Amino acid sequence: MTEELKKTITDKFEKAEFYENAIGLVCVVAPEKFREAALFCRNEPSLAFDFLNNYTAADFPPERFEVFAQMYSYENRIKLTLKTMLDRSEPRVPSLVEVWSAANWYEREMYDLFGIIFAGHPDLRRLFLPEYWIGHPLRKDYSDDRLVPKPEVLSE
Amino acid sequence: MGIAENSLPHAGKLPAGNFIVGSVGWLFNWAQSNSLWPLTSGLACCALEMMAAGGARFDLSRFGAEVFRPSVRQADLLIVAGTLTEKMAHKLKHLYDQMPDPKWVISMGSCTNAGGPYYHDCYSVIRGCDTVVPVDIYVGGCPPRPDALLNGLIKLQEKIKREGLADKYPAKDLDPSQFVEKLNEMSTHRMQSIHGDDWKKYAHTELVSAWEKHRQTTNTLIKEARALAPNEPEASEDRIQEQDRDRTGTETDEPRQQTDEE
Repeated sequence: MTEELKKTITDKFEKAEFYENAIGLVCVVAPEKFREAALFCRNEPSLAFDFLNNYTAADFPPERFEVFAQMYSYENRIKLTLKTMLDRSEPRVPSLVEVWSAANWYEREMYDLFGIIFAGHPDLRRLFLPEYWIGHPLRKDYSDDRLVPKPEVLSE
Repeated sequence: MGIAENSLPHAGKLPAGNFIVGSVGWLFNWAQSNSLWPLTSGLACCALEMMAAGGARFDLSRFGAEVFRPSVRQADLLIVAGTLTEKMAHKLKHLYDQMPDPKWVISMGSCTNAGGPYYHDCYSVIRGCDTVVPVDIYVGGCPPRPDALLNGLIKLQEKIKREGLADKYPAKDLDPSQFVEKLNEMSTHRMQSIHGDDWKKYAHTELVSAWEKHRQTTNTLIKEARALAPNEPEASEDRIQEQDRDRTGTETDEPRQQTDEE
C-alpha cells in the first residue's frame, strides 16, 4: 500500500520526497506545490484524503519553518503527512482553505503564533491573541516585556 | 422565639414581652450572604470543580448559592474559575463591570490567584486576576477541590456578615467639603420646593434656629476642609506673601502695645 501511495504521488509530483517517522509516512513537497499536492491527495480516487486530521507548524531556527498537514482517508483507511519547508526570513505558503475548509482556523492559528503568511486565505487575522499583539510568540526567538524568566534554581 | 433570641446577636428581651431589637444592616448582610447568586462562567479546568461543587454530592445550595445565573445582570458573585489569559481578561472585566452592586469576586485556583504553573516563561496568562477585578476571597489549589470552594464561599459569607455594605463601598472618593455643601443644597432645595421662598415661616422657630446654627457650623467645616485640602489655588505665592505680611504685622504690633501700656 505504501509503495502504491508513493508511486501515485511521485507520478504527479516528481520532486516529492518520502520518509517515515513515528507518526507514519511523510511526504515533503516544495511550498509552491503545497496546495496543488493537497488538492491532488484529496481528489485522486486511490488516495481520497477527505479528512484533515491535524495541520500545524514547527520552528527550526535559523533557517526554516515546517508546515505539515496530517491527512486521513475514511474511504481507503490510510493516512499521510504532507509537509513543506519554508524560508524563515519570509514564510509564505499557499492556503489550503479551498481544499479543506477546516484549514481556516488552523492557518489563522499558525499566522497568529508563527507569523506564517497563507496566500489566498479568506480571513487571515489573529485567532488566539488580541488584535493589538506585537510579534509571534511560538517563534523560538520571541521575547516580550510580559515574560518572567525562570529562575535558575527551578530550571535545574 | 427562643431560637431567634439565641441566633440574632442584637436581639433583646424587653420587660413588657418578647421583642426583637436588631439592626437592619445586620439583617441585610445575613440575607445577602445566604443568597449569593454566582455567574455561570468558567475559564478552564477549575470550572469542572465549580460544577462539581454545584452538583448533588457537594451541593452548593446548602449555602444558598446554587442559583447559577446565565446573565451578569442577575448575578452578584463572580467565581473566576480557571486560567485567565490576556484576551479573556478584557471580557472578564466587561462582565464584572456589568454586574449590579453589591458584588463579590472569588478567585479560584492557582492560575487566577497568581498565574500558577504559567507564571514563568508564559506570554499570554495574566498573573493574578486581582490585577483585573477586585478579589474578596482567594481559594488555593490546582484545581481546588469542591470542598475548598465551599470553604471559600463560607469565608465570603463571614466576610459579608462582618463587613456589611457600608464598609464595602466607603465614600472615600467624596470630598468632605463638597459633601456638606451638597447636603445643604439638597435640604434647602427640598424645603423651598414644598413651601416656596419663605419656607422658614412654615418651619418651627426652634427648628429654623437649629437649622441656621447647623448651617454656620457646616460653613466653618467647609472652610476647615478647604484649608486642609492640598491642591487649593489659595496656596499661590501672592497669598503666602500676604499671610507673611499679616504675621509680621501682628508681631510688630504687639511690642508697640506693650510699650504704650508701659
